[in-house]
Amino acid sequence: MRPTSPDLIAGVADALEWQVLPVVQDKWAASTLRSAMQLLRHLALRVEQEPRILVEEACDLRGVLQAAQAKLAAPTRVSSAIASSAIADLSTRLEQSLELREPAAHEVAAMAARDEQWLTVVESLLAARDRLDAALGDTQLRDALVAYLERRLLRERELIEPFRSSPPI
Amino acid sequence: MSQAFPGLSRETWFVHIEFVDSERGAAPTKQGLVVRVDTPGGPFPPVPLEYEYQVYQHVARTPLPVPRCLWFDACPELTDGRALFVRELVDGSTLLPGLNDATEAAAQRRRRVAFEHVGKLALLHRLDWKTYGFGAFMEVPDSAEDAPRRELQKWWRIWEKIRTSPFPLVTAALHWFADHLPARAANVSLCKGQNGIGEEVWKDDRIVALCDWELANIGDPCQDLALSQGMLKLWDRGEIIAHYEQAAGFTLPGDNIAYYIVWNAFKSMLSLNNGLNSFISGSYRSLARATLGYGKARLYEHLLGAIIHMDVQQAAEFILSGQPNPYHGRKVAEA
Repeated sequence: MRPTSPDLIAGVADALEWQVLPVVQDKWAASTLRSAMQLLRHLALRVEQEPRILVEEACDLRGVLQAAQAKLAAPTRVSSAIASSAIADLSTRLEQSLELREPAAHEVAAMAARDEQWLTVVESLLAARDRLDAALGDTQLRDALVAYLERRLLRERELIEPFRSSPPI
Repeated sequence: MSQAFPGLSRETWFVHIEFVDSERGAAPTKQGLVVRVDTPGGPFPPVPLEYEYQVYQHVARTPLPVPRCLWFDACPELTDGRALFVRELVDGSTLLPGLNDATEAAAQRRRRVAFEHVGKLALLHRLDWKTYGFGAFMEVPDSAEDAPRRELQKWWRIWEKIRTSPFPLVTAALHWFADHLPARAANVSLCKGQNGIGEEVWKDDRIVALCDWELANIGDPCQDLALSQGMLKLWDRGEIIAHYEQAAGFTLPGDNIAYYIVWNAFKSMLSLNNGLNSFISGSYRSLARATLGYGKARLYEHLLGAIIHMDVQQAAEFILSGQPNPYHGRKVAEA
């Protein structure tokens, strides 16, 4: 469809910036307008890129979680019953998260929700960093998680560019 | 009555009252008041307004210049139940127009302003906070060695409660903070939290009132130097710190300041993201909550994500390069 969604959103943002903002006198109204413009510039990128990013993200993250699951299946030196129980709990969470329904690529909301659930698991693994390092005998798992997170940042970097301009205040 | 702009976290209202004694026929007397009010979405930093009020009350008993607080109301009808407190208005401004002009006079002024500021911080950091009762309502570290870890653990717990979604990279960054904790605080001091231009009230280039105490705590004074909003860039940093150290009577380890510069990026992100909760819940759909709590918080996430392979000094330089001070470029506050 022409104009595209990004074209329409960018058009609205441009109109607000060049036609409306210069004549708005009230400081709070102008501040709200600047916020709206920033959000619209973000949305113009997001509507176009989010589905692709979520698909790439799902592919990457599934691999990372599967590798983590394999690692946790064979910890080399679990020092105590508590540590063993904590690792078993993380393994269960990993397993359950990998069994979540695979949304279709066009189901953006479902993809985003699953992505968030998987991220929660990544967060739990990183929160247990010291315990996992001790149990696994190396830092490979956490290194892999951090490397994945860095790839994630790169993937979504462009989306947050509009927020890099001056504060909306 | 007028409102300070922008007041995104908390509203600040200036009220000018004129008292007329018609019976005696005396000249009218005037009084200015400042009313601090929670916004409908609550503040960005997850700190109750009453805490800040308590800090003001306690600081008012010390030799430090601070506005006198008059009352706190947890649930006033006037603001539909949003907490407020009232303090006296101090004549002055939170901004120093012309400070960054490219003239020799402005350069000398920057030196005076920076020295004045760190002089007041030194006075604060030397304060005997136990005698003035701050320990009765603030968390107190066991020792100078304990202070940095106590601060980390406290805000890590808060972060886990208030964040709007999982941020695993921030978890990795929190481990970086744990790995790079200063061995000990420079001193165990009452710290102000937010400070510098845009926070304090200035008159004739002197601080006449120290304001904005919501993040005050007992801990490493290096926190305050790190959070002084560009003050260390106003003049030669070494000279400013030497001036502070002479006034304070103790030295500031450079690595501690660097650590807290990075740490402040985390606390800023935490506060901004906390402000997003009311937007997500639908209780306060202010667009600034979305741009700051989502957009700016994501930028901070990227900053913090980048530091986890750096040492403390590299990380501090990196954070400073990506974190301009909004008060230096444009007018965002007024008094």
